[in-house]
Amino acid sequence: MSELKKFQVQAARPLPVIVLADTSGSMFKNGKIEALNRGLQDMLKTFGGESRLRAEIQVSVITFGGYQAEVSLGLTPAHSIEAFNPLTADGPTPLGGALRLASELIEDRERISSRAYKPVIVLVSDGYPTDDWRQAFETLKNGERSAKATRFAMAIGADADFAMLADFANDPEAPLFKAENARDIHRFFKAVTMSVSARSQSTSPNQSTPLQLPPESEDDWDF
Amino acid sequence: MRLVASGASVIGPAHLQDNLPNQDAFNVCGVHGGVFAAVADGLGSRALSHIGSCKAVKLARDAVKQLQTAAPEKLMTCLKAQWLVACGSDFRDFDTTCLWAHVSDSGVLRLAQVGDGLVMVKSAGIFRVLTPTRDGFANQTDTLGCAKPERWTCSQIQLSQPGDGVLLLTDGISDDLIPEQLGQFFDAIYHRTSRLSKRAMRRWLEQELAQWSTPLHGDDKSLAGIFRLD
Repeated sequence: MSELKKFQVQAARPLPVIVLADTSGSMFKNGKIEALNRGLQDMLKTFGGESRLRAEIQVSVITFGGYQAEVSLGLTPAHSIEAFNPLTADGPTPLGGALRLASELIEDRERISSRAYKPVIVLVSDGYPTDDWRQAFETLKNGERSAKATRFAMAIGADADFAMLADFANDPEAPLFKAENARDIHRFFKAVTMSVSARSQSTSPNQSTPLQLPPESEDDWDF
Repeated sequence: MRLVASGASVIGPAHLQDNLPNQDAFNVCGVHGGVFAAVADGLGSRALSHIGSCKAVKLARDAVKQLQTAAPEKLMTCLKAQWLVACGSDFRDFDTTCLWAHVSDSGVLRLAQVGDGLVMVKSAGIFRVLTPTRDGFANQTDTLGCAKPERWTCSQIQLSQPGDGVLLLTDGISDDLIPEQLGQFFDAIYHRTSRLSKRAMRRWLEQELAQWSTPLHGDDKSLAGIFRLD
């Protein structure tokens, strides 16, 4: 019988994954929102089914569509997410609000403790932000804790704000990914899933692993 | 005044699974009538960090031997210089944290920490954690080879009562301890150390660390402590 067990935390170290998902009206076109939903659901299912883990993957989904960003899924262990309601697309693109919510989450030591591995933020967007996002982006990039997060970004289609998204992505091994079709959205989420899964099984879960995109299929999923 | 000390290090499940060596190191020994203790945690991402951590605890002991009454800051400067020389130009491959303490035969505790892990002290019967609050996330750490002196934690404290002492932990242990119970953890180690022989204490610690109960834990785990008995 261990004498020291009573002093030990009985929860695994978290590996937080925060998805910032564009749900503005333009995502409604050409099957983009359906592809995003499918990519997210597959990602959650894979995370939840991982067995050789060295960390507990926790996921939050923050959406920005309509007049304000909102937390669609609060930070939750992936294995305990039973259902994820499909996202719907409507209205403008309040990215700044989503960045603020992400900053608040990461800086909150109650919600993400200092024993957590560094978070991964995934930004997915097909257009230009419609709110004042620059200050929120600076705060996220320079926050005491949020500056340490790994940031991945995907631009969907030709109308995305490539400059902003390229600036958002901060992992040299994973520059901005440009999705030309719905299949690419799925490929991107598969790559993120593999990267996070590899980290969660690694002896050094803080070390980033490159995004390795699965091969393109021959299906035609053009927007 | 009698001092007792204990220490142990066990390899973590993640390194066992991947056939990697224990990247932690510890050292407990008598020095100039007092007692020295150190732990070090080699960075998981560095190929030779298991060697770097061993060098760190041994060179810390040597620095304490050479500079008997020097301030902890001076000892750290000496340790860092010696470690960089020992590791050569590829020192980043050997990157490690280092936490060391020495208690003299008159109860003067000198200690220093660079990188993550935890230093806990009881002085005049009052328990406190000396390690500053971490500003980032797990496994993001300063290292002996790279951290500037302003990132070191150095202290000199008088141990005046029975039960006073110092406990050094690598983050494989400290990150999984309930923060509100660190004082009780310190006392549990003290009480065991005061009752068991050095060898029996090491065996007990190794058993305790090997059956760590935090889910999905993977890190190597090392601990070393020095306590005043009377």
